[in-house]
Amino acid sequence: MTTALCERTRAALPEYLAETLGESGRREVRGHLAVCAACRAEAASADPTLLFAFSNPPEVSSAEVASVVESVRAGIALREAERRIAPPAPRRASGRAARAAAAAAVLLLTLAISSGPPGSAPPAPAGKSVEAASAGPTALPGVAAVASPEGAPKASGGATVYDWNPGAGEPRVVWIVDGSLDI
Amino acid sequence: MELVYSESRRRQETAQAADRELVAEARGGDLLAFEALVARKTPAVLAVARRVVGNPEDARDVAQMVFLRVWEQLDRYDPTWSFNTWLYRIATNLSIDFLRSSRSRERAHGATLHLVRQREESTSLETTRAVEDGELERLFERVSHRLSAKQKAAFVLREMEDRDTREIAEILKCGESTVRNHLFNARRILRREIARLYPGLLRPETKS
Repeated sequence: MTTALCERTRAALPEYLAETLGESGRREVRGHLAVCAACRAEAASADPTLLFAFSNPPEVSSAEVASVVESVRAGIALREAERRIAPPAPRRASGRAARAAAAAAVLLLTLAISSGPPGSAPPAPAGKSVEAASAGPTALPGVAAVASPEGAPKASGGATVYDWNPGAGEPRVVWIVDGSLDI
Repeated sequence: MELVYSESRRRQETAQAADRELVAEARGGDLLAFEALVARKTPAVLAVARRVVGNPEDARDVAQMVFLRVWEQLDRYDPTWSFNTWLYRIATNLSIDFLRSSRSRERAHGATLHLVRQREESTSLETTRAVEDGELERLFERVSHRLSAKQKAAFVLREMEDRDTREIAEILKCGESTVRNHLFNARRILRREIARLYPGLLRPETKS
């Protein structure tokens, strides 16, 4: 027997399918279709995708639940064991720290060489960089600031060349930072 | 009707309170509480996973991955949000990943060949006879293999799990309009596949 609710449900189906029906209207349609076989058949023949709205959830046996619980328990135990026996991760300097350390090491080395016999430093004009194929400088925080007052950094391949010439008889300092150097 | 509604709402609230309690205990490292939570939630997770990935064995693998992920990320869960939505998000995303994986594609290919063979052998399904639940599950698996993983997940959550579009948007991490778009396209593709494989299920005027 077709009731007013049946009529209303059937009239609301296009909106239901177009996702333009509000949530309360949608609940009413689903609620009615769940209990009215005639409307359900009518709806499914109008749009067969509605058949799937009323499929019961797949049956899950208690054995299946137990099997999932068991496998999760085993998975947790395995991960905990892996965590316990895993060697501690080696301490490794971060890329930026490694580059900064490399720069500092090269700078100290260069200073040591440059401050040898007096007057051994090449009399280059202040602010001029050494010849290096420039592929765009890569700024290194901290290090670039040291180089910038007198000499601009130049990049060549994976390395950046810094040239600092304070003039006034002071030794000229050139240092190279190789980004690929990992220490 | 109101009594039935109140009763079901009270049951839902009680279940949510129990979930919250178990989640809190599990967050404190209580493995037994977590196992109780797994046992409670397995049917729902398996239902979604089975509908999205398409077969019970794969769904069990997905469910296991889901609960291991939940255990590992419990400390990241914000208790002010619904635990079910968070769980559905993990279950749906892992099911989608699984469906997209090569292993799943290979299995789907095998299943498609099997279906083609089955269709050649029998046309008895091309009728408007009532479709039983088990039959519906198989029918959905047959006609949904052309849906994208997200379209399938959106359709399963909306039409079969009866979730609202806002929650689906949260689960799929997209906008509600995207969800509606997935649903629109999913219905279009499903209609076309049903018309192709089971024309008997369509009303005469909708066949053309």
